[in-house]
Amino acid sequence: MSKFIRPIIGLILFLIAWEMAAINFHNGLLPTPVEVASELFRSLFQREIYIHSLFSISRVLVGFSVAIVSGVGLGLLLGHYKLLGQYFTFIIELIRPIPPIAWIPLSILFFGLGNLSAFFIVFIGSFFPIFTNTYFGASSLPKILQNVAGTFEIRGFVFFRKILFKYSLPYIFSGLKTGLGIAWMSVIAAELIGAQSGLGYYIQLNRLMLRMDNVLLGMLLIGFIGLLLSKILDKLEVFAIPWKK
Amino acid sequence: MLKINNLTHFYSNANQQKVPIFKNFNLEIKSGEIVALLGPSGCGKTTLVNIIAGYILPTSGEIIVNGLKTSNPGKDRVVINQENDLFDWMTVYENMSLVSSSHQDVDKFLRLSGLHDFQLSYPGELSGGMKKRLSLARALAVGSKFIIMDEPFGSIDYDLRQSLYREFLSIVREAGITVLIVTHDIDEAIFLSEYIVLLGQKPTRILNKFKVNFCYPRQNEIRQLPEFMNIQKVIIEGYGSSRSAIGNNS
Repeated sequence: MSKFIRPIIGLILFLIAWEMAAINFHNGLLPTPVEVASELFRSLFQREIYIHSLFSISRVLVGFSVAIVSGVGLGLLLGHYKLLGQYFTFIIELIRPIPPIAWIPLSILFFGLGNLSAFFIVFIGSFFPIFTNTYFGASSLPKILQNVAGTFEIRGFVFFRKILFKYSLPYIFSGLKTGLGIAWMSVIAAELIGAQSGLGYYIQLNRLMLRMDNVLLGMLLIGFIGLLLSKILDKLEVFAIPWKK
Repeated sequence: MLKINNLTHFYSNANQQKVPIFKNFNLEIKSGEIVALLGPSGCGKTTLVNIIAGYILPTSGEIIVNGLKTSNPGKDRVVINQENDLFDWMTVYENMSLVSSSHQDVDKFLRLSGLHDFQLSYPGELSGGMKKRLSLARALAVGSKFIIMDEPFGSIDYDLRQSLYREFLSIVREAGITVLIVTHDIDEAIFLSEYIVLLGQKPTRILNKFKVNFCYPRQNEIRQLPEFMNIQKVIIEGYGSSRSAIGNNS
């Protein structure tokens, strides 16, 4: 059986299970896949769902970009300069387990309801996996390669860019993949509570109006966009790390 | 080319006691010579390489390269290691051009090492022998006249090693490079070098130093000559007397 057929069969089984659950436990709250599909078809011709999706995506891109720059930069620095790392790794390890959603009250307090707050939650969610993986990569640069760089007098910025960064790239991408998943989950959480737009807000609004077909449509879109972003990152990884082919 | 004056170095053992590896160790290598440092495993050969390369600072003593006292790693003495020491994320050409800004030099040494057709390959796509040749080509491209080789052919199978020996000798002799080969392989030391320095157990001292009188280029057949076997015998006897001396002392 081809590897393309199996996921399709899995999807069909999932849809059958959903349909049966919606029929057997039907109390008007769980819409059937057909109802959601027809809502999806109707929404495709309306601006609303695109605007909400774009708001969510743009928030992820901003927060995630800031997390990449700071997480990779700090991870390389602290991973290479072990003494410097000793000052900060404890505090980072202390903050790391705090889930992004726990930061929402603080972010609303500091940044109010809106974009800044969502950027911050996305940043917090994606920073730690990116930082931790980069740190691990940079600190595991083999001694022999450090010695070779010393012999050939490759130092300073060139060392960071051509040796440390490139060596750490597979680790960085591992962090980016985890970070992007958390970033996408974080933005929905932030929008559910503290935003006036985005897919999280769309779900919350429709929940209040008891439009469960729209709630499920929003959830499906979250899954679809998350999958799309993850696939884009996979393609970028192949392009950025050609020696690992 | 290389002078080691009164080198003394201690290391901390598991009980945090300072143990001497070298005590007032002296060695001199002249320009253009190929010298093998031969010693049993654990006698401090790699520590000596690390000290000469500037990777670790000795407790006391001087390392002088081309008349200049050295303490940091530098292009004037390039180390080729037993393990892979290439940058795996760079192509063959990028590995070379990172250390040499001269396109002509990169091109010349890639041709000399037979890697010109593999410029766009990554080290992971090369065989073990090709990786060694690339390490050597990189050392030559940087313009270093002194190469230190730490068990360079240890991980390569016997047949490939024989052809690499000949290629290596042809390249370094054509370029007039001074070479210090650190090995525990008696056959390798005799086949490659002009001088053999025989090292004893810790604290490491020179047991014997002698010239290997075979002309270059050397062929595999020299291994059948009585002189080759005599040198092997001298080395093995040297080790034997070193061991019995240690036994008598203890």
